Amino acid sequence: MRRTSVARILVVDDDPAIRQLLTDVLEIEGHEVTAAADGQAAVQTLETSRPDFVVLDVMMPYLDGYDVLRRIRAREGGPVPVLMLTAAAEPDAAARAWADGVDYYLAKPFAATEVTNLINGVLRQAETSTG
Amino acid sequence: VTSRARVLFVDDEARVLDGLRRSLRGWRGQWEMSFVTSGPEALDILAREPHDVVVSDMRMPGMDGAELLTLVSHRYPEVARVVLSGQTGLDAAIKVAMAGHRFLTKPADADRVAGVIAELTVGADRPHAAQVRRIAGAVRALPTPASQVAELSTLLAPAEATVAGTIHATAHNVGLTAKFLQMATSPFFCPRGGTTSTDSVVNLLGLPTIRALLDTGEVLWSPPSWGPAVEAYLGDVVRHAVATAYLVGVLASPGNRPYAQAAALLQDVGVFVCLADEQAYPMNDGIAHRDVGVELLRLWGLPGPIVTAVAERDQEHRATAAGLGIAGAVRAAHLLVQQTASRDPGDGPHEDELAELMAHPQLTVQQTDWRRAADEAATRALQWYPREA
Repeated sequence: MRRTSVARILVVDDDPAIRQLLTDVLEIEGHEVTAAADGQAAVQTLETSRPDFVVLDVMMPYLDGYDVLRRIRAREGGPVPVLMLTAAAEPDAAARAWADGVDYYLAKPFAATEVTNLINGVLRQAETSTG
Repeated sequence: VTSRARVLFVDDEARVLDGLRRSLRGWRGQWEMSFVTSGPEALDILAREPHDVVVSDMRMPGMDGAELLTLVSHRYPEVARVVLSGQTGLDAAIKVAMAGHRFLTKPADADRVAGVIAELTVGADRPHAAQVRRIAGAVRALPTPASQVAELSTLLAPAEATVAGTIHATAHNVGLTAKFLQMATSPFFCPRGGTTSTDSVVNLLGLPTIRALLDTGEVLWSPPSWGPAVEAYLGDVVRHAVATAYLVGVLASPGNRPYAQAAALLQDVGVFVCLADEQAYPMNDGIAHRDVGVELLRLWGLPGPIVTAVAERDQEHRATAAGLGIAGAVRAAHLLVQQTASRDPGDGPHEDELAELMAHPQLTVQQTDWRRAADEAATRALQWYPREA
């Protein structure tokens, strides 16, 4: 049976391998994925579309993840949940992410299933009885 | 494997039915589909065979869609009602909003129609599914305690209503929030979609539509049977919901706040449904009001994260490093507000769970005294809706 809860997801990462991996696994899950190779491209995409969820890498040239996050938060039309991906080498990465108001956080390296499980968990429709 | 779900399509234009039949052919394995061209024919079929979903056009000669779906809501409340309509005037749109559970636009997007039917036909094999669906399905709009009806009616009076006042009223009322979200998540009322917050919902629907809805007298109402005891009990339910919504408005992460606040306000929506359904309530053996509430929100197509957070409010939550999420934030805020009413805060049955949630870096980074914030939220909720003397 086809999936019914399709979400529009924006993936922003300057690493082409990670970008492709995330795009592939999220599309397999049935989501509509737009990929952006850097912060500038992400900001441009956000001007014309409204994703349901954003996956955002921290370390990118020109505009980094936190710059993009600030732009996302300044937009009108209701907030969008953001998953920040941070490099493990960065000290206090988690604390910075929470302080800057991300909604979800994963440290690299991560397994692709961690991202899909998290997004499906966030967007899933409750189907089970609570008893 | 359970038996195939039964879906009935009603449209006076055979061409539209042919289109649906063709484009939904791939679903024949899951659904048994019937197609009829008038309301009376639809009622004949429903009288003969139980159905799961009715998808109906609105403008039809003789019995129109609103009339048909209203009859269906009384006779067969367990049948999910989907409206498939072209553009209409405001009056007709309001009838649509009251008669249907879901609203789709013509020309029909087959994937969207199929997606909605699929959502409405899952879980039919759960225990008590039929009774829960019957109670939730009968609801056209949720009731409000009588004392709040008066207060909100003043706030929303035609001469005085402002966008800000309407947002304020909506953010404090379970019935208005649920109804507006039901409408705003449908392409019929909001073609561009993407609504998340109460603010954006009120702005997207617009004051004229909201005014017309209020004028039906059906969306802000109170069952005449509710006496002082029910009113007092619901007062506590409303105050808890409002306080939790206030608190989660600062506790949840920025991107999760709108859904978290809606879920907090709607956390006990099932109580309103069950208390309004006099036939259901005294004999609800084994039926939990939470299941009825979750079923209503699912039927009405509210966003998944809201439904999940309501469904999981009473489940122990273990936060992961990835974040509290919406359900976790609502659960934490609910437990904190619940504690403010306790005589011995810090010693409740969920203290370990709460301590763990409070220790999450997502919350500690804010350096807020959450227990104090919960006290303040509870005090504000009491100011908004005081206890009867």
